[in-house]
Amino acid sequence: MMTDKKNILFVDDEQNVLDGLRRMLRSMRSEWDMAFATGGDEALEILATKRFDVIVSDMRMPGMSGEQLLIEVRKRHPVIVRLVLSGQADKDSILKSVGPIHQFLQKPCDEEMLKSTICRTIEMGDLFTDESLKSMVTELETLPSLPSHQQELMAQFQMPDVSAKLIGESISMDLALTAKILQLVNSAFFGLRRHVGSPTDAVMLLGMDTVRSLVMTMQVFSQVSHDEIKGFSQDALLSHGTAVAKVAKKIALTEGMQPDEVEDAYLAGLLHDVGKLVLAAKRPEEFAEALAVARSQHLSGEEAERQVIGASHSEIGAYLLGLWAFETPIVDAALYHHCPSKHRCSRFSISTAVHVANAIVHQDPNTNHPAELDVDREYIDRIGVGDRLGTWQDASPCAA
Amino acid sequence: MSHQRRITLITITTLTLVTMVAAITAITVLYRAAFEQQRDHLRDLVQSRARLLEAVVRFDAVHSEYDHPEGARAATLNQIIDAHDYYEGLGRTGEFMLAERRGEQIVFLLCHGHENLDNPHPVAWNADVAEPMRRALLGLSGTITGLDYRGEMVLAAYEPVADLQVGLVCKIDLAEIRRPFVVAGMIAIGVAFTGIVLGAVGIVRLTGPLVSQLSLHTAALEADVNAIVITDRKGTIQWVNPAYTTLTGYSAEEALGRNPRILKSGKHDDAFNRDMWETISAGRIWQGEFVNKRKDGSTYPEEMTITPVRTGGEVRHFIAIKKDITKRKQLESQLVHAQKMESIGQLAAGIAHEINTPIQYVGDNTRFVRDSLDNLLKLIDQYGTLLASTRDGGVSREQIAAIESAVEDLDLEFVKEEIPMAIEQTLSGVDRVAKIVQAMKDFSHPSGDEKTPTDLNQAIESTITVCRNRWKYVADLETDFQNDLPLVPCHVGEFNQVILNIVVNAADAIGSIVGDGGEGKGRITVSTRQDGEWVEIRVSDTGGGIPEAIRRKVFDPFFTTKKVGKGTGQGLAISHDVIVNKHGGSIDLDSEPGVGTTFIIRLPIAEPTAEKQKEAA
Repeated sequence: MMTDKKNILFVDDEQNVLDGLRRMLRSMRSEWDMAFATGGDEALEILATKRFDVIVSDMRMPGMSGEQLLIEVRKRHPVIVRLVLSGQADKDSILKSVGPIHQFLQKPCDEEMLKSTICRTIEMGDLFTDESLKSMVTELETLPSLPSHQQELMAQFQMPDVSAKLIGESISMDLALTAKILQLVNSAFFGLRRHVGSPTDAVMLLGMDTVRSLVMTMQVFSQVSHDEIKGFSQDALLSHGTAVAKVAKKIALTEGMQPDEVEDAYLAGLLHDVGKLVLAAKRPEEFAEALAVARSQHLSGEEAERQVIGASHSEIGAYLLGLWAFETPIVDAALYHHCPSKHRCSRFSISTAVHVANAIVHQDPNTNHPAELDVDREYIDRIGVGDRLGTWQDASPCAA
Repeated sequence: MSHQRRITLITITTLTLVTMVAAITAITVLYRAAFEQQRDHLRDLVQSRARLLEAVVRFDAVHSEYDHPEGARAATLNQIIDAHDYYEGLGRTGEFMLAERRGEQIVFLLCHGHENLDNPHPVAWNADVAEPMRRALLGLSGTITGLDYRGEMVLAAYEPVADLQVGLVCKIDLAEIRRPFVVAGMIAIGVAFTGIVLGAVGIVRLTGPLVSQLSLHTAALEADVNAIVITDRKGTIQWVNPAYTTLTGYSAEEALGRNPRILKSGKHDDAFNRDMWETISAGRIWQGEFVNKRKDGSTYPEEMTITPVRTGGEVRHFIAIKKDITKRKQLESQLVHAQKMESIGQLAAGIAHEINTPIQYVGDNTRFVRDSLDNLLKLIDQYGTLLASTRDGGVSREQIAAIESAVEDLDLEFVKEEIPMAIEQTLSGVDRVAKIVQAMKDFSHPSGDEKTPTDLNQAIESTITVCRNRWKYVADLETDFQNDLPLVPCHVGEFNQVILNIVVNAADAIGSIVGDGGEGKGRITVSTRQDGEWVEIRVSDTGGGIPEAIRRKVFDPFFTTKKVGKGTGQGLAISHDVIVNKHGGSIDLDSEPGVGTTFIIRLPIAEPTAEKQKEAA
């Protein structure tokens, strides 16, 4: 069953590093087929021979740098997940090359971290049977963001003594920016030990200058603007995301979650529909068709998307968040926000909070009875929180 | 009162007094002479008259006793009086007097003055006046200055005329004798005073600008914040300004007459001092830096310029201008330190990378060995069981199958082959980290004030290791060290800094040609050689070379060809300072556009002396 094995390519200019990886990862030989290259050109040659799933590259190499290699890989083999394993400690040069990189692993990186990161991206990729859907996400560098928000943000950067808080709040008004900044700050790019959940914290950690240059880079990308899609607007998506985020946060608070988790619940709520943004950007026609199908055949959005596109925004969003190194609970919340019962976890979790919050926000304000909530009853009963729905509904800001 | 006016007044007064004394002395001498002459003249006159009168009296006594109604005596007197009617003379106040004593009175018979011939009133015999006549009437002969009948001071000659019982006096007012001299004196003083005043004013006018310029110069020298010392040819201090006192602690009084060596700190060798003396004795300007000692014993660095001062075409003085350069020295060392910190900062990321990489494979290999060892131990256990079973004679198929499957799980061939290599590479990784850490320690070695004997090969090796990340992507680095290189006295921290600057520049020069090394790397060669009393270090690169036009500028501060933010333009300027000024060595470059650049550093093996420094320059 050789074909079931995942193909992984490691690139490093130091043979010793490759030897070490080869030995250490020998135990994965039943699951992975590993190849090793000492330079960019050799790597591209190897990639041309067969289909690879993941590439793990060093950054600084003589000749072709890791960044150049990964840009080339993205162009030639968009479906390959692009990871970096680098000893580079220079923040600026890393930031400059962030574009084609999904995740950054800092040398020295232990076995567990390396294995789990690779496994997780592979696992997420298995959500899709369609290679082209997968590469739609893998080739994405940034999400389309709202030009109006960006202009506002740039204006704020011009202001004297603008606070990180203000910038952070402005960023959280834009899904694309929020996602990108949190990707940056949470992947090992900056070697932070703790997980960062809010754009404000991210701004403080990255520094104003970094954030500004990032926003400017994104501005360039989003100029590749998308056509109007009937039944979809970025503004509506954002306000829905914000609303769900607030409710999810309330629910998390009511359930006595840790501050970190509360923060994650908010973030998960904000980003749970991020897949729609990917669809609107990469498959606008099909996405519009799915929306039309949903309307005409009274299907849920998810079902319509699966029918027309082959995957729903849940999987697509979750894959993106997973590739971008978001925490598992956030990825799960995006993946399972319509079908939590598929979730392995049988306790109350952030996924539960986002699922319920989504239902509360979608609920007709006139029929705000817990029994009317469009939730996965089976799941709610399984994890035994049926009696909490009323409390959550009352606590949620929209109910007031 | 201004300085200038005071000088003017003193000049005038002095000159006037001197002139007056001279004039009065001269006039007095002349007056004395004139007085004596007058006295002789009066004496001659009165004596000759007296003798003449006596002759006439004698004649008349014989021939006119009876011709004249009043007798011979009257005849004689009448003749004399008559004669005087036709006689003019004796000057303005000169008088010829004839008088006789009548009882207690002196009665004047003839008074020949200028104004008239009227006889004055008789005067009492014992009056204060008419002293000359009284003497004549007493039968005395001589000269006298005394009061005449009018009570005026006169010079008189007196003579008795014995036969006639009259006295004869010829006199002249002292005032008349004095008058020309007084006038002459007045004129002399007037002329002299006028002349003196005019002369003084003229001199002041003429010298005024010179004087004010001189005082300006003096004031300026005194006000100068640099210490200034003027010595004579032998070096004896003639003048110092207040800044000298501030700088050295020696007051002007303490310094004057002494030798500038009072500041000697003993930090300079004889050759240094000899060089200085030879230079200035030859009439050339000497410039240099000194470490000197203050009066209180503390030392300070100073920069001094000694200029020979020529007067009349000959060097008679030296003027030394001394400047306290403590602050500059501090700034210089701060600058070197700042550049070092900057480069350490830039290196830190590269060093982290250099260390992270071996740690990665050390960790990977060790995990591999650990896991393999676990499996090997398990396999050994199984073999143990197999051995026991074999001994008991009952080896089952299952046991063999289990061992075969364990061997397969373990991947024994792979493990056997890889473990030695894994351990080898792990050890080499550990060595590499250790080497980098040691090099980092060597490189950041704090520079003390004193030079220490240094193994330059080792210092260069460390520096190359520390900045490996800066060159390894663009160039291969080759070292060509002379193994028995002598130790060189060196501020090793600063020397490392220089090597770093040059190697990083070399890497950048190559980088700008080969890019990221895609077209093949360049080459950096670092060599050391002993050349007599010198050690020569050459750093060659295969970069683009330095264009002729900017070759001389590369050692200038702030000169850089790198992009903004890439270089401060301080590296080579500091390197030059470190090698030339701090080590008495030299740094040069040899560059061929399109071929590459070689930097050549020469350091003296012995402590540099002034002569060698010159030679090196």
